[in-house]
Amino acid sequence: MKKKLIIMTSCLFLLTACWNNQEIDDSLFVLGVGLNKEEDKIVMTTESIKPTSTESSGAPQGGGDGGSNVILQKEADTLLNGAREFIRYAKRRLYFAHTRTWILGEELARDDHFMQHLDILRRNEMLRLNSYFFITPHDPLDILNTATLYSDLSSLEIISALDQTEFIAEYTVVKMREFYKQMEGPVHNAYLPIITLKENAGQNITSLEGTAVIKNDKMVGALNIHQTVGLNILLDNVNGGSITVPIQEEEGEKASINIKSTKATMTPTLEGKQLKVNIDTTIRGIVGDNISGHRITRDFTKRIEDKTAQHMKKTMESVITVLQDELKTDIMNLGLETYRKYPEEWNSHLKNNWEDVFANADVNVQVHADISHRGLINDNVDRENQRRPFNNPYHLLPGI
Amino acid sequence: MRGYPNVYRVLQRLKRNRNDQQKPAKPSISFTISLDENKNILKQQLGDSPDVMFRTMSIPMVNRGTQAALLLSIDGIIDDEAIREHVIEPLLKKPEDSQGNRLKERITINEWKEEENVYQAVEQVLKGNTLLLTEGSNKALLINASKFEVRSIDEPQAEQAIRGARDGFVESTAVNISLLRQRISHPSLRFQTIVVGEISRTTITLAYMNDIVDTQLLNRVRERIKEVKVDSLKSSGELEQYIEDHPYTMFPTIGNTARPDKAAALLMEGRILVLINGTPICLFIPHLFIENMQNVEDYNSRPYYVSFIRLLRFLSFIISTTFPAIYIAALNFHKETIPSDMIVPIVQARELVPFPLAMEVILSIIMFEVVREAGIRLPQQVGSALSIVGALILGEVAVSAGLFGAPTVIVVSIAYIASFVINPIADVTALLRVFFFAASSLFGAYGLFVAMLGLLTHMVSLTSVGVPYMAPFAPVYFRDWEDALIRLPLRWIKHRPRSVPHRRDEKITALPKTGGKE
Repeated sequence: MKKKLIIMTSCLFLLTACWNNQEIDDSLFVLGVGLNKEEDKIVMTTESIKPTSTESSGAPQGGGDGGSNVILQKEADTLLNGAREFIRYAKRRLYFAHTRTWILGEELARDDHFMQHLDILRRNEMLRLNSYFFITPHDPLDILNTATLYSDLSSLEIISALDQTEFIAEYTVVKMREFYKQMEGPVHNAYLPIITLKENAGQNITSLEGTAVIKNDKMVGALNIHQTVGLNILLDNVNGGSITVPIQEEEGEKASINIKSTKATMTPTLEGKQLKVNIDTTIRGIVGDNISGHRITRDFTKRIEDKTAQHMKKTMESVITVLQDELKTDIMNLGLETYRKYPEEWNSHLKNNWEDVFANADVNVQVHADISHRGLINDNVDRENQRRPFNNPYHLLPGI
Repeated sequence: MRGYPNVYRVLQRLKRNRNDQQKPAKPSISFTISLDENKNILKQQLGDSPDVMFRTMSIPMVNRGTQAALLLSIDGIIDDEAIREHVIEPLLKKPEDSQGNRLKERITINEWKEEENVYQAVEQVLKGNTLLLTEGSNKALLINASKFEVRSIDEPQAEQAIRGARDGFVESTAVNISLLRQRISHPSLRFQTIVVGEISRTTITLAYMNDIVDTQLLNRVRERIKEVKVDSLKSSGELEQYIEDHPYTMFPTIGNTARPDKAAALLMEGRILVLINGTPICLFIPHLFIENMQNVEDYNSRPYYVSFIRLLRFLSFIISTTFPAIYIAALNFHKETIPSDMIVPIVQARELVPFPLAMEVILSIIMFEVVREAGIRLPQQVGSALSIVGALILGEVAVSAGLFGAPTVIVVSIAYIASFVINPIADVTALLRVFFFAASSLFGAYGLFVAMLGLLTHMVSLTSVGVPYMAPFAPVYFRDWEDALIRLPLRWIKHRPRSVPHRRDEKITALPKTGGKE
C-alpha cells in the first residue's frame, strides 16, 4: 500500500508541473509598451522596472524622474519577434505579464489594419486582458519617457488615473477586453482614450485628452474633452464628475454640479428605412459650486436643473453630430441596441449599410436633471438677510 | 497428540522457547529461616551502596528474651522519623503482655504487607519501603513509610494561562494524583498503576473517570502500556513514542500537558491520563489535531474573542506552513500573480541578492531555526546577546548588506511568528514549511498543491490509539463543531464531544434562565 502510494505520488510529479521556473533577477518586468509604425516595421518601446533601486543608480537615463525605469526601443516585424530580439539589448528575458499600459502611436492607429499587428495580445497567455489601451499623437517613446510626478514608472502613473473615474467624466477608460468586445460586436467600431504631452508648470506631463474613434480596425478621428463627456453620458459610463453650467451668461453667473449618477436609455425605432432614436437621460447631482448671488431656493434649484439639462443636451448633441456627420461612426452602442431590438432587420439589410442608416438616423435627446442636495450652505455670501442663528442660546437675552 | 509423543515434545519445547524469549525467566528466590542467610541474600542483591542501610536489632520479647531482627531501608527515600517513632521505638520497648510477641501488632504504621519473594521485596525496598526480617521467619515485613524529595508546586512555564490555575504537575505521581483529586471529588475518578521498565521499574499511573471513559479505549491503552518491555523509561515523551498508533508520523498523536486544571477537564471529557513517576508532564489519550488550536484559556473568556483567535490560529497554521512556499511559487513560477504595484519593490530587493531565491529562502529558514533553537537552549543571561545577534545581524545588516532581500526576511519571519501562535505543533510546522517549500520551489504551485493534498491524506489517516486524529472534521461529527473552528457560548455546549469516545453524553443538565426577559 505504502509502496503504491509512493509510486503514485512520484508519478504525479512526473505527469505535469509548473516548468517555467525563472528567477526574478533573470527577468525584466515590462510595465508599459508603446507601439508605432515606421514604414513597414513596428517600432516597439518598452518601459520596464529598473531592478537596481534609485539611490544606487547614477543619473537617470531619460525616462522617469526617479530613474527607476528602463526604456528600450526596437524595430520589429511582429511583436513576438520584437520581444525576443529585445533580449539582445536587455540581456534578460522580457516578462510581459505585468504590462498594463499599451500606448499606440497615431500613425499605427491610422493604419488600415492595425488590429492585425496586435494579434499576440490575445493569443499569448502571458498578456493580460485587463490592461489598458491608449492612443497618442506623439511618439509613444515620449509618453513613456515623460518624467513621472510620483510613481516609479510612467506606465504605473498613467493607469492609476483610470481608477479615478468616480470623480471625473472627462476621459474614457477602455480595458483591452472591452476594446475587443466592441470590435467583435455587431458594429466593428471602438473608442480609446487619447494621451498627450502637455507643458504644465514648467515640466512635461502626460494628460488624457479626448477620445480616439476607431472604425473598422482604423482610427478615423478624435473627440475633444467636451465631446468625451457627452460620449460617456451616452454610454452610461459616468460614475461621477462635475459639469459647469452658465446661469446668466452676461453676468458671469455659473454653477457647478457634482454628478452623482447618470442614466441614459437609448430606444431605437425603425420606421421603414428611417431609424428614429430616443435618448432619455437622467442626471442626478448636487450643487457643488454656486458662483452667483442667488439664494438656493426651490425655484432657483429648478432653474439650475433646467440649465443643466439644456447644457447636457447640447453636449450630447454635439458629440452625436460629430459621430453622425463627420465620422459616420457609431461608437455610442446604437448599433448594438438596434440589433437587440430588430435582429432580423439587422441581419437582412441594416448590417450592410449601417453607416448610412446611422448617419441619417433621427436622434432625439431628452435630458432630465435632478438636483437633490444643495450642499451645506444656502447662500454664497449672505449679508442682507443676516439674522441671529436660531440655535444660539443667547439670542433670547436682551441686548445681545 | 498422544500417538505422536515426539511431535508433542517438540511443540512443547517450541512453546517454551517462545515463552522464554518473551520473558527471560527469573528464578524466584524465597527467604529462608536463617536471618544471616537472608542478610547475605539481600546484600548480594543490593550490593554495598552507601545508601543501603542494614540495621540489626535485638527485639525484647515477653518470656523469650530477645529475638534478632534485621531492618533494611534505603537512605533518602524513607521517612526516617516515622520509622524511628513507629517501628524502631515500639519494637525496642519491652512489651507488657504476650500480645507483644506478634511484631506486626507492635508496629504502629498501618501500611505493611508480608513478602516471601526476595525480588519482590527488594523492589519494594527500592521504592521506599522498609523491610523487617526476624530470625526464624521466612516472611519479610514490608513497611511503607517512604518520603521522596518533592519539588514545590509551580506554574508550568510552557503552558501559562492568565485566568487559569497557577499550579502545575510535579515529578511525583503521588502529588499529581492529589492535584487531580482536589479538582474531581468523585469516586469515579480511578487510578491504576502499571510498572514499566525491567530495570528502572517506573510506576505509571492511568487516571480516568470510571463512569465516563470508554472501556474499550481504556483496555486498549492498558494493554498497550503493559506490552512495553524496556529496560528503563525516562520520560513521558519516550512512553508516548512506544505506545502511539503511528510511530513514524511527524504529528504527535498523543497529547501532553503539565496543567492539572486542563488534565481534570480532559478526564471529564472521557480521556485517559497517563502519569509517569518522575516526569511533570502527563500524557493524555486520545489527542486530536484540533486541540493544537485550542487552549485552556479559551473557556475562560467570552466566546467572540475566543472564536476570532481560534480562526486566527487556523490561519496561522496555514500561513506558517505555506507562506514561504507561496512566495517562491509566485516569484519564480507565477509572476503574474504578484500585484502590479508590489512588483517594483520586489524586483529591486531581489536584484541585490547574490543567491537564487530558493537558496535565499532556505538559508534564512535555517538561520531562523538556528536562532530559535539557540534561544531555547541558552541560559537567560546569555539570551539578550542572542537577540542582538539575531535581530541586528540577521534582520538588519543582512538586508542592508544585500545578503537577504527584505521581502524574503519578512515572509520567513511572518511564517515563524505565525508558528508561535500554535505552539504545541511548532516543530511540525517547521518541518512542513521546509517540505512545502521544497515541493513549491521545484514544481511551483502545482507542487505545493500536490504536497498539501498528500499531507491532508496523511493527516486524515492518523488515529490516536484508535480514535480518528482529524475528528470532528474527518469523520465529520457536526455537533462537535460548536467547539472546533469557533467556540459557541458555553451554555450551548451541552454534550461531551463525540470525537472522544465516552459513555456519558450530557454534561449540562440545567442552567439558570437568563437573558433579561422575565
